[in-house]
Amino acid sequence: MATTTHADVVSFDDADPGDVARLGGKGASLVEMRRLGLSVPPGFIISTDVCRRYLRDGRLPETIGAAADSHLADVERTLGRRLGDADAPLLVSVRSGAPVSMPGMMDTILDLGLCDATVGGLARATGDERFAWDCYVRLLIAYGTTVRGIDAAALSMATTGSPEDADGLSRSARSLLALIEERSGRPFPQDTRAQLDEAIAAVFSSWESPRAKRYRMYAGIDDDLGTAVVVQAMVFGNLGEGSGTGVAFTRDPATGARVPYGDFLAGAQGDDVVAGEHDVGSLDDCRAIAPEAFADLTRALDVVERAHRDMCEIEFTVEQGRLWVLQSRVGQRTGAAAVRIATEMIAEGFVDPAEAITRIHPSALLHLRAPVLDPDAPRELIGRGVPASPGSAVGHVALTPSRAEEMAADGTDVILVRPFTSPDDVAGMIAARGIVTAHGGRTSHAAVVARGMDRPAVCGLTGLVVTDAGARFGVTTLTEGDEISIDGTSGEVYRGALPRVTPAPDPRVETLLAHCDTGRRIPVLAEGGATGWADGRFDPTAAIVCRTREDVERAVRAADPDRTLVIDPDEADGPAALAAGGEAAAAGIRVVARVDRSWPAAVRRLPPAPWTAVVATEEGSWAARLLAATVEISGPESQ
Amino acid sequence: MTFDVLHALRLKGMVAVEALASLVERSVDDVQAELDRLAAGGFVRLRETPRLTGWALTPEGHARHAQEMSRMRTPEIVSGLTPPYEDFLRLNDRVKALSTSWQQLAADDAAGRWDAIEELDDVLGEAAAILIAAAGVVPRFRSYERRLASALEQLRAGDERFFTGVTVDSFHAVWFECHEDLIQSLGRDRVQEGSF
Repeated sequence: MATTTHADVVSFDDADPGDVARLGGKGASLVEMRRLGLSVPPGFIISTDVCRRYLRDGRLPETIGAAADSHLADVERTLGRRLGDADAPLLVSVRSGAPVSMPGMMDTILDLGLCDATVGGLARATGDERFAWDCYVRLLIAYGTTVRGIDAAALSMATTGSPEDADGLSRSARSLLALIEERSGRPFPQDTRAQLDEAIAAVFSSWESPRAKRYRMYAGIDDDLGTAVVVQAMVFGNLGEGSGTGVAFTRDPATGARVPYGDFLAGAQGDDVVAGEHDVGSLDDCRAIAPEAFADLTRALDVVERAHRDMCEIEFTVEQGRLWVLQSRVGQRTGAAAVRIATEMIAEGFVDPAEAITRIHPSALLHLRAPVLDPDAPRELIGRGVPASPGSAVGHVALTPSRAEEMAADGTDVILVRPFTSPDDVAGMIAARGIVTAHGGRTSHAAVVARGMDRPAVCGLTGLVVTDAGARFGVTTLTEGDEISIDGTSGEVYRGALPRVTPAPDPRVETLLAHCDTGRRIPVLAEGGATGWADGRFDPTAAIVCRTREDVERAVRAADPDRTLVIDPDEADGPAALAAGGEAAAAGIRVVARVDRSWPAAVRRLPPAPWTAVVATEEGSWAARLLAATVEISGPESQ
Repeated sequence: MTFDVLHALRLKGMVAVEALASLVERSVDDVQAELDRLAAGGFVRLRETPRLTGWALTPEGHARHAQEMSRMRTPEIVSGLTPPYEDFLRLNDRVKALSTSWQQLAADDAAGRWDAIEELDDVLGEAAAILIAAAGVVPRFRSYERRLASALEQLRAGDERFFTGVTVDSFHAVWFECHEDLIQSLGRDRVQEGSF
């Protein structure tokens, strides 16, 4: 346990980013960003040591108040705003940050520092009274639930004012203030410094929440690790001219091309970009309104990519011409981009092959081979909806689930077109190649079911009217048997049967697979290998594919104990084969199991042994080669 | 039992006799006998597709089910079932959002998986109260609570298909069915309600 009090509270500027145990994951990454020279909104971290003392003594150590005051003063000087100042209020966020990923704790409180006296200051600074009251309402709800433990439903019922205007929101704020006082016996602190102390204590207490405790028990995490608290200044992308917020990638996340790519929304704050409710502009818009911030952003992108040696994404806000980097992390990307980035980074000598291939998920390769609607074919767009489940499909319209099943039974490719789906549609959805619905979005039952069985789906197609007689797509009416083509990745529906083509093979894939083959850890077997092992067709180290309990037992009896068994369960005898695999694993034999037939390249763990699932179907062969080089082979010794 | 069989077929579309027996909580022999009677009356028929074989309603069966449904939809039933239904709808958005985020979790995100299952457990706790209230009006709603709990149990035992899987009685599949049952029992219209 730390004895030096100066380390109990540290600014992002003077800590060791390697000290994750004390700073927590979130804190350490902010310190790392500062170390890279990125312009991060200022703030400080209260270490996990303080958490342990808080939990032991039931109160914050006395020295913490003064230390926090001094750090707060630094933040106030940097930004020229003060906590609780009616004209130029400083607002902060308060977050938990354990050394390991830790569900179940209090997550984040934003806009702390708002109170009756400061809400007007925020309204004047942003020129947006509705926004300021909205922030206040959100703070009151977050504070009420996470700090005071008031039921979320009760708080949401108290927000009776209209959320559309400042008047309605200020009425909601009044009722929330009254409810918080009534339910917790104490008013919401109008003293903003007291807000901060109470929030810090609430984060520490949440380490002991029942859910957090259960997670630690489940994941075998030490109860004494504790969490750090990150206090950070809020910055605003809606603060007048030259402000905005965005996300930028070091390389194009769709294609992998080596050019910065991103979205930017001028005059907007926080989630506006992510929420997808606004038409978002490109990084050029950022360059146009804030050229210096854009130049800083370009430099920041270069710095983070070098630091992570991988494609990264940065969340940022520009406040009155100044860039603030909120978060940087390794970026999400499509399968095509993953392959291009890995091969180019290997070629650039930026990263070695063994590391680069571990960054590609096998399913990314699988999707690369998925056929798409021929982009060059003439087409007639008849509707656009929500891209609810990716992939493309072509087939004949069926308007009821039973017709879908009957048509499919005759060997017809079917697209099921429905107003929405009910449970009795599911059999028809299984029989169909793709699904279109008039109502519902990405989270509708139809979308969940379609994704669950890997069928392309377009949902919520505005203007689609479906009856037993036909489906009217705007001006086009289709009847049963008419051909349509759907793209569940873009949400588009076309009349007629467009040709589906397998995307032209990217030569980079072969380069990548060659790297995989060099680093191969287990043999790749094709389907049907189950009978091949005995007659010596495989090399002595090859794994044995077993489909049934009998296969497993035969292999255990006859084979060299060093062999790996690949359990690829038969539909009928699957559970028995898996159980036999479990027994073999328990007896010391290395076992790799494939558990999910719908996904030919899953890496998963299954009880009772920590099996890793593998794949070797024809369509999954690329994925299998990648997997063979990256898979962790589990045996009982690792449990 | 006649209504229970018709209702299960109406909700699920096509069901094998064994699965039907488990749904209506009767023996396979009893259910088979009932199906034979209904088939003789032209209300159900055995359908075979390359993928599965099961019993389904005929158009006459659909009509008879709709008739019995509307006869049972007394003002008392509707007013009793409406509050639990409204509570259910509030939870419905959460279940759908949770199912969607589950499907999009990274394969190696063990903490995320754990957390999603915990949240499902919270949902089940709230759903149980709603379903018990609904069962006070229409007893069959009690069975959804049992089936949801059993899906969660399978999930906790490590079988991930029981979250959103289609071919098993997953949490989402049972939830979807329960939603449909409430809608039908109340004679509501999904389009007007905007709940899909």
